[in-house]
Amino acid sequence: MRRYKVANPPAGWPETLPFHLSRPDGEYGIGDEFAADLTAEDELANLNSGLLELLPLQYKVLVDTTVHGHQQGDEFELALPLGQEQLLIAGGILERTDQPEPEPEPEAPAPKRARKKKED
Amino acid sequence: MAILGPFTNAYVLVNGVDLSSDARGVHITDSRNPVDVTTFGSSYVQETKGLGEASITVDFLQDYSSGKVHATLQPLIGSTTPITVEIRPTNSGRSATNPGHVLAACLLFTYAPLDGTIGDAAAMSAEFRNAPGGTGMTYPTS
Repeated sequence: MRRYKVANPPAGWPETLPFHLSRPDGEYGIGDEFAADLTAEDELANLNSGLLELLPLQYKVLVDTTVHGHQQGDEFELALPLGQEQLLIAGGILERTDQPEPEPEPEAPAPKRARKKKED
Repeated sequence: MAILGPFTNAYVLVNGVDLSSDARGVHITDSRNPVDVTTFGSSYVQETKGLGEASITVDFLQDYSSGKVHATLQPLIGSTTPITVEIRPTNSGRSATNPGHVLAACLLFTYAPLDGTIGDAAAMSAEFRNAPGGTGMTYPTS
């Protein structure tokens, strides 16, 4: 899960109308933050359009190479688009060190009552 | 005016990874396709500038260590996610005399992981070209 901020209304949105981004979990105005699992393509399109701003995540450099200005073992924060993050993680170069939000535990189904056999 | 050279310490940044110590050559092209606009009465072909083309080719010595050349480039060849590649004449910060040569959104089009014969250094090259949505080559100084 990654966090985003609603940065700008879509191009052409009337200045006098307030803009709210509708999502399944609610409505978000300019400056509001929300968490979502976007695909790399959707994220990039929304970042490039200026609609969304990516909030920084925490990473650790795993290799003996300077990565985004940081050395091996360094932990740092960076707003790294998902597609680029995936490439660096696939190469074993970075790992995410922030804790993903815990998923809500599914409700345990109520124990079924055993039916008593009808006694003849 | 100071002439750049000898060219010994270029800075090579691929998707945020500093690969300078594995690189040995850089080839940067920022060109415009010529478009023929010659008309009757001309005695020479007259050309104007058409679409731009931008590419960066880097020559490396192959390195399969973690975080080095192969680990950085191999995921890129199968990907259509645009990445940033930056070359600077020297391995110091951007400035007017050390500008970045930046393809802010590019794709790796050619990855030749091994290219040599017996006795050669394991030299290889990688070619990056402007991606869809990319803005071509830029030369930031800060």
